Amino acid sequence: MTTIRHAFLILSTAAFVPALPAAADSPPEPAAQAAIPAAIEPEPPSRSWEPFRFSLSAEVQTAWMLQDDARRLWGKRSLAGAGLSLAYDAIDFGGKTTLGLDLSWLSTTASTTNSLDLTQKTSTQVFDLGLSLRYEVFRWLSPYARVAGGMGWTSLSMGSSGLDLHDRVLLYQGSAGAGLLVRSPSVRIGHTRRWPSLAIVGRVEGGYIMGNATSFSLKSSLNGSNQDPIPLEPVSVGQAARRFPYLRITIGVGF
Amino acid sequence: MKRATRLFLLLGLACQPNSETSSSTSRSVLPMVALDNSVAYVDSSSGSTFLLDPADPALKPRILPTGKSPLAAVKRKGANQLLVLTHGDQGSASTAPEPARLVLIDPASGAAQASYDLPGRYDQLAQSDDGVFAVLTYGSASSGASGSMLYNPNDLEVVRLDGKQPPLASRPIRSLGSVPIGVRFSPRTTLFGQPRTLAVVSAVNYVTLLDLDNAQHTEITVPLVPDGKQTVTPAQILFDMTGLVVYVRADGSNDLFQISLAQSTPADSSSNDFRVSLSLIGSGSAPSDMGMFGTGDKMRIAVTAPGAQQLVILDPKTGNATPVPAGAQVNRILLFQGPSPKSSEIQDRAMLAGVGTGATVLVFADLQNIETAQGLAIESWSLPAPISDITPLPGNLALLTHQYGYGGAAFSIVNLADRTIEPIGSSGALDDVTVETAAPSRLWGTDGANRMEYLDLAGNLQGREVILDQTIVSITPLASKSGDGKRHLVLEMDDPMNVGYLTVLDADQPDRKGARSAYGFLLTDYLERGQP
Repeated sequence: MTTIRHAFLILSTAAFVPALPAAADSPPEPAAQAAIPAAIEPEPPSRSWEPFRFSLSAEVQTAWMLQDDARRLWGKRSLAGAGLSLAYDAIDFGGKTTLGLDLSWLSTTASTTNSLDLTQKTSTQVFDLGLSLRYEVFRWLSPYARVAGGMGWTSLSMGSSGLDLHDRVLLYQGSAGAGLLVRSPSVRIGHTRRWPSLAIVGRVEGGYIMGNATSFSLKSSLNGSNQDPIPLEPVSVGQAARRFPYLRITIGVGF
Repeated sequence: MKRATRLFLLLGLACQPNSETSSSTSRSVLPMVALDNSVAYVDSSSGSTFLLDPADPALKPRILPTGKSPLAAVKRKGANQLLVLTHGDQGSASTAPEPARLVLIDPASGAAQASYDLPGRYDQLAQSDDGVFAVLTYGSASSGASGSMLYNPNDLEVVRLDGKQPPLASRPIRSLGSVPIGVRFSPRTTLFGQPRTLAVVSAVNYVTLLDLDNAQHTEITVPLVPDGKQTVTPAQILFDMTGLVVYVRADGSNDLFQISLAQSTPADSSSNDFRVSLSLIGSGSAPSDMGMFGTGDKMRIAVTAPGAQQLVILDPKTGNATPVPAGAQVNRILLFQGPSPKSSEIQDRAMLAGVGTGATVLVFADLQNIETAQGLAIESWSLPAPISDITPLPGNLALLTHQYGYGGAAFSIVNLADRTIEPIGSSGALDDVTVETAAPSRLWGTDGANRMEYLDLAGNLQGREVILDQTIVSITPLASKSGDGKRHLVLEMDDPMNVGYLTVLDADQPDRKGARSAYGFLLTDYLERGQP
């Protein structure tokens, strides 16, 4: 928790403080306008708070496993995942409320020596489609609520290489959460309007994920090289619940 | 950019997996136990028993909790049940102690049929031949055996497994300076008007008799060396319940110890209704094996005396010893009743052999009139190689296992009646040889890799083989048919990760095509089980 608060302080105080003298809607000086030839496009302001439609972010996510079966699979308290997300502000309701869509990919890997003294590796790939409603409190700060649904797969392997047992199962999940979006002013990276303005965007989001319980039947490739191997029965190691609170932090660029 | 780096660093630290997830426990699994038509594994780490029915198409085991730190798991004699002895947990400031337990599991019901909380953390389990009684003892006088700082290594527990009350009787036995090293049980018989089973607890220089049906009675301690100047270790015990005598052969003594039982009037409720007397029978030099034959006044004890190359016939009534030259250094005796090539009369006879002595001679003795016939009752036969073991088989057959490295036969089948010796050749050393003594008698072995060989010992001795996918570690033919109407052969396969690896075949028609394997079955329901 201390770490999270620390991260938020960095986001809110160091990177995104509104300390800009120029505003996007400030009229240009008449003298300067007259001096510019008509054929030459006026140079846009270098920094502004103009809204961005898209954002591309890297994200990390941590979660807290509440059930024993899930803890056996992903660890007792948390798991670390990383991924990418692309967000799009679909509808501007005028004023300060925006409906956004986002598509995200999250990859999670947990590797440990389990209580059976076996090397255990669990990895998850999830693709989520999210819908968020955001309200701009300040130009740099917008709380939002988000629901998402997605699917992917989880793979589990136990044991050392060559002797290991493994399985991969489909998963689907839904989540609901709320968070804060913070942004910097947009900075135009070129001298004409054809160049986009870029802003640094960060999100801190907490919520709850509910998904299908993952049930694994581990198989081995012990006899994989034999042409006619003796049938090996799969081993059901049981199922693990996917219901847990999460904390998601993203940072990226808006354009 | 620098701030972003710091941010991800912080996030990365926040997302580090908890160090508790990487903690691990050392894990051990007790040796497989073959029940009548299923097998059981006991996981010491999780305190769980895995019962696997070979007839189950999925080969999925049933998992039963058995208590913390199981030490031993054996089949209950005379029943299709599993006995598991656990050490329990001594507890700590934060965890409650768990008593040691003896758990009786019935695979038919898939549940623990009985569980007995034990007052001591015993580590040795012996049971009577009928499976009615179990006696639990400490394996040594060191504190490591019990896990307790202070305990009495001569304390033992008598457990009744037949459901009669009381199920437990805990008692220390008198010590003459030693601790129990073994327990032998008498056949169940009517003794002084009451059905009983006696237990003889062996210790260096003495034995202790317990009346298990009256476990509250005082034990009877019988010193074998009254002056204490000699050290003798009981090695073999025979019960003549008709003659009310217990015979003890002991390493370090040239005599047999004869413990006679006689009825007496108990002085109080804790006294026995019988008393014992000890006598010694001289049996030549360093007896190595003994067997009883005959009945009534003609009951005799045959003793091998390898040092003197003799078979000694003892008359317990008179104490007379009749040495018969065996002509070879024989140290094992296998008694049987049957005809001989010279006589079709069914008589008491014996096969004598030198196991581990390097002798290549097999001696047959006609015991009926051996005291008068002497050397005329002895016949010698030469063997292709020295013997390392003898296994009696049904139908008056015996399997001799030959010492490896002498070339030629690996085994020989001896027809005790015909006195014929059929050698069985082998192209190399066999690993993990299993002899199925019950019909159909079969010899199973592996070549140390993935090849299993077998032959019918009562048939034409033609070997057959089945090739499997991985290295075979052990071969276990089950005694009874499973639910699918087949009797199964269970092969333990090489399993470096200790996750459970079995291959199951039809024991009567072993064939690769009908084989199925289960690998990793000890991981079954791992996610849903309680923490070990």
